[in-house]
Amino acid sequence: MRLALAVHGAPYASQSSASALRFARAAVAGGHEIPRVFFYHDGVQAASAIAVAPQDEPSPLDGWVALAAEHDMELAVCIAASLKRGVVNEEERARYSLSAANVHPSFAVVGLGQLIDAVMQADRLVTFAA
Amino acid sequence: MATLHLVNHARALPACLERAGADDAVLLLEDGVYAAAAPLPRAVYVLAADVRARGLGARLPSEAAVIDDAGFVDLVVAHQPVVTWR
Amino acid sequence: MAPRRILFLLRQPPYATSHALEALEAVLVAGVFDQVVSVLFADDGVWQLLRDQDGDAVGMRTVGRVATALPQYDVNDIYVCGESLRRLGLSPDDLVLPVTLLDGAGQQALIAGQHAVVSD
Repeated sequence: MRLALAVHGAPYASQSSASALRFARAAVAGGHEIPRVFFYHDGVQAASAIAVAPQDEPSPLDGWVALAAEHDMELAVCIAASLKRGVVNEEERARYSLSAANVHPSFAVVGLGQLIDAVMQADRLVTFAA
Repeated sequence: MATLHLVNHARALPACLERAGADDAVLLLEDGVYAAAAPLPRAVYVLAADVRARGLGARLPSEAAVIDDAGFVDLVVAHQPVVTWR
Repeated sequence: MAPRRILFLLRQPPYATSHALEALEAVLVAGVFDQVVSVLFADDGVWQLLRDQDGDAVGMRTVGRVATALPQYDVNDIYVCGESLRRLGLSPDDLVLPVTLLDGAGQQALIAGQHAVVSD
């Protein structure tokens, strides 16, 4: 089955991202596809490439990056939600003449329409709320 | 197909139950599992990792069925839609 | 592909967090995708529809005004939990939009008929 995930909470501020990651691992282990994980609201913070996890804790960023690389999974962050929270890729950095970009290359910065597209392409939407 | 309700805060359980059908499934996860520390009005599922993390394992009533992450996936596959209450 | 039935379940009050506004923005986007989109305002989410809001007072967009754009984006199935409305001491005349009131059973049936439900 094709599952779309929505992640609404920021790592550390909320358990949302960690719960979604565990679910995603279990789903692909069960033979299901997750074509897209859509990060929205504070969930867009998951895309920051410059987050450093404490040494004795697993890194949420590494977890998502590894899972997406192993499976055909798009990690999509909403552009409107991410820009205003300081989560910016190189293209947006240049567009707004910002001093730095911080989106990890494994994440795609996309429009909100990709959430609806994910719902249209998938058999289920599972939302991990803040 | 019946609905799966995900409740990730105990405070949201009443709002969920007001709109849940008798055949629907309710899964408590994250802080939602604390709702299972008090008497429950109906049968629910609770997510094992969240129960274990919070030390609630010995305190669950008989209405709460513990499932693991693979069981969570199975519930999603068997229900539509999946509704989150926070 | 047959259109999907997508319900947005909006239960958060406006202003204290961005959840209400960002969820409404998602509804507006969904409206242009030619799917069967509906919205259910329930619990504190009903506050999003109260008349006379002025987001400028707290440096934010006026959420009630965003909600009034729903019909312009072809979102016309706008539901409100009748019990929530009553609990908040409101009547339909207090809201910025004409809405359809649903009781618990009506909301259960609305949810049950969806392919997907997007929460705020």
